[in-house]
Amino acid sequence: MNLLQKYIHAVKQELPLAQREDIGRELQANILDQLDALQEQTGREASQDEIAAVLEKHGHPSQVAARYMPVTPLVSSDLMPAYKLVMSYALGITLLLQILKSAVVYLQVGHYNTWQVVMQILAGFVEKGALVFTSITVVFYLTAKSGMLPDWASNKGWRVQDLPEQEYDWQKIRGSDIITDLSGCGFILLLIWHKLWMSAAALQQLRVDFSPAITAYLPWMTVLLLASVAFYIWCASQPLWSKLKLQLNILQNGLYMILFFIFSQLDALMVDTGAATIFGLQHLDKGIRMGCLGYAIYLVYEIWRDAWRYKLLSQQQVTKKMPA
Amino acid sequence: MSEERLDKMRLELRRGALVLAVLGSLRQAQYGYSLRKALLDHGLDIDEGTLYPLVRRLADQGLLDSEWQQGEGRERRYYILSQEGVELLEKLTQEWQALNGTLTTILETGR
Repeated sequence: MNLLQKYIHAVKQELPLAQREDIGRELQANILDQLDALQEQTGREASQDEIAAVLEKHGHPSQVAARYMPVTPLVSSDLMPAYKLVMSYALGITLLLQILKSAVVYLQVGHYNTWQVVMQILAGFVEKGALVFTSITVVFYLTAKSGMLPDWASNKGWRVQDLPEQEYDWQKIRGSDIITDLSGCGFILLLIWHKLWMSAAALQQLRVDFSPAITAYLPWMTVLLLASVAFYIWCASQPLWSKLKLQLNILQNGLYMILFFIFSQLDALMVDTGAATIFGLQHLDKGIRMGCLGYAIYLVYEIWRDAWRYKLLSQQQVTKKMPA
Repeated sequence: MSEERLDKMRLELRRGALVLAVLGSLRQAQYGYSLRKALLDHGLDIDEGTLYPLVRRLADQGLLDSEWQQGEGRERRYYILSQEGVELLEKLTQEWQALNGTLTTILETGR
């Protein structure tokens, strides 16, 4: 096999079967013309080095093949904004579900430590995330190819009037914040209502439970958490802080602040179930009550911040300031 | 401006013009190497690795007709403008001339 044949063969291997012979035949004819021209110039037959130089100038076989059959991206640049949006929401929901699933396992199995739970969340997210990533990419590719893509994905028929009225950078609600808040709500709901989903055996092994004092507040907490879930889902559908959303956020944070302040003032949040002796339960309980107080104080800051933002939106100032 | 940036901008500038140059040169039938020589004779040096795939893509779009012919003891694929290619070339030529006129005015005014 001479150099030219070797080169053409290598190019053909990189091409689709249907075009392989035709492109190879044409490329060979073109290169032979080039070699003839070289022979005419030098007045002698081209040496192996000269032939190699001509072929190398054409480029690596895979590059040459790619020029004949350019690779088209699975998702075109026009669809990239819609693709990124769908992908971020889908991966966010995947992460949320994985956190809740791992939380259930964590609450049921006593021997898991925090590090193992984090690793389980990561491993589960990578596994399911890969499936979600591939599925969305394939769906975008196939629908775009068949021309069945909905208008919103390619931004057809958009109107300037429909663009969000965003005056300040902070008005954009980040997807990561929504996911974090939803995960938090889901986890606390699972914790509060553990008796509904835990097995009898697992419940018997529990070493601590909520005290009667805090149990009286749990129905209120549940109602508030469910309202928060609905609120965050609404925020996910329209991720922009408006005056109404800020009002509702102030209201919910105010209610959480009151509840967590009450929790911090209770005599005890947890009681020993008697399944096993817990050393330092009082200290742990005190620590959690301090945590509740700290969170209540943080919520005061959030309420103040949202009130300040509400004032800004009310005044419709263009100044893009926000509290530290 | 760095040489690398200049090369990149030059490449972008030439990309659209190359299609017009190739279509314009294929009013008469040409095979790959003869087309490259014809363009070179007019002062347009196009790398083989760019020209040959470009010609093939234009043919795939129905702008060129092609035919294998035997000549000088070797087979060659000859390309010539199709009817669709002729019509497109006419429109693109008008577009080019209008653009060229506008650009000339802009570039002269800016001096």
